[in-house]
Amino acid sequence: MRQSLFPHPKSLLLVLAAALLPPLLGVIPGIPVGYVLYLVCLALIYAIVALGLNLLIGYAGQFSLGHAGFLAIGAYASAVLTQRFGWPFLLALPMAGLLTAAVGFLLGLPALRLSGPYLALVTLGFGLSIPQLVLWRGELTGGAGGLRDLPPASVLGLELRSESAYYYLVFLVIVALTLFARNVVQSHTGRAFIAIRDSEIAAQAMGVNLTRYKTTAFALSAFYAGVAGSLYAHLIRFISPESFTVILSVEFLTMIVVGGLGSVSGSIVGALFLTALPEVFARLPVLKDFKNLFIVVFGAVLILTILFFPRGLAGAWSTRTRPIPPPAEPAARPQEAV
Amino acid sequence: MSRQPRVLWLVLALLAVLVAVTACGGGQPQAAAPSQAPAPTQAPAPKATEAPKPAPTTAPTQAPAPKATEAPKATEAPKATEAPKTTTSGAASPGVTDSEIVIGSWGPQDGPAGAYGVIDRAIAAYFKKVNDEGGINGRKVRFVYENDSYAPAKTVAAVKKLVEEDKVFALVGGLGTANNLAVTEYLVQNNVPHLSPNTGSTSVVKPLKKGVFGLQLDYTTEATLLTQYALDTLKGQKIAVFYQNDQFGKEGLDGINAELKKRNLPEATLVSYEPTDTNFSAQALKLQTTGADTVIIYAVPKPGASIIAEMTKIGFKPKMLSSAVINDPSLFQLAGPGAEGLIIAAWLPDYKDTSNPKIAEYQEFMKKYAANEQIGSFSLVGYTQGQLATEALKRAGKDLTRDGLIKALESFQDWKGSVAPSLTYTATDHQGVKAAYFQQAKNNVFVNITDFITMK
Amino acid sequence: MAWLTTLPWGQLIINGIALGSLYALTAFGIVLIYKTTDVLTFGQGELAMFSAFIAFTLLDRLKLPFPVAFVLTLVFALGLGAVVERVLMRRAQQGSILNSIIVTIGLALVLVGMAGFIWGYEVRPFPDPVTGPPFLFRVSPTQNLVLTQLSAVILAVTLVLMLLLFAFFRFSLVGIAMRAVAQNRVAARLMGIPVDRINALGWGVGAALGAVTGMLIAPTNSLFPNMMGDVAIKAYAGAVLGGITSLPGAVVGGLLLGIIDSVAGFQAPELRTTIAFTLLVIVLVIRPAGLLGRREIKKV
Repeated sequence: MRQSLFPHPKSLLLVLAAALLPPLLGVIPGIPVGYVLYLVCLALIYAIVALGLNLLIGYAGQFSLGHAGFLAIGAYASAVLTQRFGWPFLLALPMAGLLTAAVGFLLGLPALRLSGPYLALVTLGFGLSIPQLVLWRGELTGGAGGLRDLPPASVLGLELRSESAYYYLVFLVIVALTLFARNVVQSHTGRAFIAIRDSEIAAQAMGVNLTRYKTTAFALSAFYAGVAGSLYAHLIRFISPESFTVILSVEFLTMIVVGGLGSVSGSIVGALFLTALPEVFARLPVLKDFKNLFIVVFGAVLILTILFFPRGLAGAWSTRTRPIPPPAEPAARPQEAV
Repeated sequence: MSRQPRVLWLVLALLAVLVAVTACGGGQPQAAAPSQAPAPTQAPAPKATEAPKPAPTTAPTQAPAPKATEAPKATEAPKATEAPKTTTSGAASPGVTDSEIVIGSWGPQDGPAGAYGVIDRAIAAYFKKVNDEGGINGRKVRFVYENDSYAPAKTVAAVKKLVEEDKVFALVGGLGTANNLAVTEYLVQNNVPHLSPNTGSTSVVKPLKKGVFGLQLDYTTEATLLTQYALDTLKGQKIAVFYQNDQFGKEGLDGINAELKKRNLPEATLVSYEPTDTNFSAQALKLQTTGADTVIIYAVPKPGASIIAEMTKIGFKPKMLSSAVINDPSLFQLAGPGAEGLIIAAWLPDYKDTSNPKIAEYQEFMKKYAANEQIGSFSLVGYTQGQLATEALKRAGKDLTRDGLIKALESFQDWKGSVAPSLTYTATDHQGVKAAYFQQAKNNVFVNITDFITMK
Repeated sequence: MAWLTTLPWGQLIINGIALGSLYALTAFGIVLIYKTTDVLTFGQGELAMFSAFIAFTLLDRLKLPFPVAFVLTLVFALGLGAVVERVLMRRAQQGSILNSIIVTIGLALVLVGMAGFIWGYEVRPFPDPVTGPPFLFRVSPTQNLVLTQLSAVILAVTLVLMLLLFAFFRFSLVGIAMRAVAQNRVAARLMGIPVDRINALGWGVGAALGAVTGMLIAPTNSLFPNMMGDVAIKAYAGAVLGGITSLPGAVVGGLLLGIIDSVAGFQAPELRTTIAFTLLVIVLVIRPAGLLGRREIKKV
């Protein structure tokens, strides 16, 4: 059942087009290249978080409302390592991922006993606590003022200051992480995740080690968010605790549901879609003059997408390529207690 | 399945080529970006050292690239696009045509900070008035403001859009401390002036940055003034501070403690709250148990009003001073009778004080151009910023350039034309207001109890 | 640990209970909707806020007396909830459970945005339904414990509502039908229960509870589109702490969280949320189904 790297010629074309984006944009006159590429970079960074989150929710069936917290840990780890300790970016990037993965592993421990709304609450609390802890340990993290003028990302001595250079960095990372996610999904680990999602008891009966795979799912998901955090920090080159709100965590969740649960490409589609939405709105005639209506439109689009594409945009777009895994079943609900 | 390795190699080879292209081609548009700015003479000073950097590094990365033939082709492409850009910017300043000046801004129009959105709408209304009266030196102002929902990542996108797509001439009143810190370096690099960023944080205006001109009294100065008043005039013995746990609150706090330290007094007792908190009963109780006789408040309007209400509820009535940020139309209704006697150090007259002709004029303006907006501190700030920008653009003259605008601003010497009593900028000091009135709440209006005084 | 003895425990606990009753009240709607439709809603706070704005308009613009405005708002909320169920949730629930959650998030965004668009983002005072001096409890010659009349009313309303809802689910036919629907939709339908109508009723009553919440919270927290942000999160935490399907659990969880919040806000306000959630995680790890929830039945 192994599928090819690009199951459909379309996706290969898509990758090629994505790779050619900056030069293509540069050729068309009148396109604000820096602005567009910045947004694309941001969307792809969010897509990396969404990839990890989808592994956790869409495949392993565990819930998280705290991924902005992981993003913050990755961002701060990378910023502190490069700025305070002079680490090269290329080392700080994976280190940020690994540190965040370690935290993810720890957050996975309560998940061994909790599920559904209970687990969601723990992750929500985690996401709320991280910015507070960042403020609290101000001497290391810059506190409320944040960390400014972070060193630009550099690869082998080449500083990636321009948006197009940074775009390629993000692009390479996301291609690598997408392939990795595909491999994970198709591996023994991925099948264990799906087994846990579909029924913990059945998975256990088949010999799936719950402790191992649940914590792995959290660590893996956190790793993605940590890497994304590092890329986020060096894209904006300024981070402060206010950037990592619960709203952002909810946006990540929205991305994977709108894109498609249990779909690797869905994560990317969802992130691109939700990042592009405000920019499209800002250009709509008439509506753009009512700037505070945007949030209403955003909510409405969200609702309509879910109602009309219950399997997400990716599910609606490529039903041919492969069967969509069944939607995550609700966790077994607690017995009635009036 | 058999196709997989081939496809993989194809993609990898392609990527290798592209990385090579980026190294030389991608690097150059960036080096070219500053030259888009109209005045290449001063901006590239740090840039000049940067520009040569990509050049040597391109050579080694280019060499191992598999297809050497493609590399030169690729380097040509960006150059071609570079050409038209520089020519358009050479002709005139960005955002300025014979009939129009484009000015930009950003701020939250929704979300928890949505109440600040009125500032941008007031600036827009002010420019509408300016246009109705014939514009500035024959040009109409087009004001474009973006909604960033108070999120720095969105601010960066908004500012890049304003600079690259709308090609704004300058920004006026971009809001938020973190939001400003996220974009200031980009604005300075691209030589886009930013008039009166909407933050009192000293970290945005200081150290001196070309083109960044602060307007409002900075929090450090304000806090020092408040502390001096509390100790000298009110004879406060023990000070406690209620502050928001963010940059705004921390700067106020640091200002207070610095003044106390200067006088060898013990540090103030601190009670913080989180910007998301909605209930302040615990903090009020804490303030009461500290035994302080004076409480200085560094809070935004809603929490500030709530803490006063909560303190009143438990019967704690200290001498109260506050950052002027607290002065919002809802203050007296939310805070209740406890707000009577509250003292603030304000850099603007009270928005309700129609005995001041400038305020009467402002209220007249609001009725005519922003009838749906609230008369209050936020719209008054926007109005003042509109006045500042208009005067600066007027002074910059018919032959409008960004450097001309900066020069014009640096010529402001005790300017009294705006609602702010006095405004001075010099080439080495871009902090506008440095003084404040002390105002006291009497029957739900803040009335001046001192002149416009500066720090001792 | 010396600070433990120096805390003004009496007032902290009174404040905590006043705060906690707001959480508990908000939690009722969340629990009710979860109990009947199996959906964890993130729109409860916003339903409450929007209803409070409706009440505000009736009171302030149309100058209606408080009881009339109260009843009209309840009717409005009941209808809004039923419409939400009919138009949005019924369809959303055909997908995964996460789809329903995202739809409630979308609903929250639409409601916040509409409120901001119609009424603006500035903070407004909301008329106090009960005015009068606070209750004072003298504990020492210099110290009084203070409880405002409004807090007392909120606490009383919370307890009465808990009893009413408890009785409703335990004894009334509709209440039992609601539980049946939640437990097994197909079986309930086979038993002749009009599942769709029960779901609509669940959402309607949930929204009406939200309206009560909004009208009681707005006087203390004042009225603005994001007035429920922090309260809704804590209410959700309280509901889960108590065991998400249990109404007495919501009260116990909400009050406990209020007290934790009050003490943490006094002792370490900069770590208030962190402390509250750390304690919560510890409790949940020991009791994975919450304080009053029962252990889950795992299905294979």
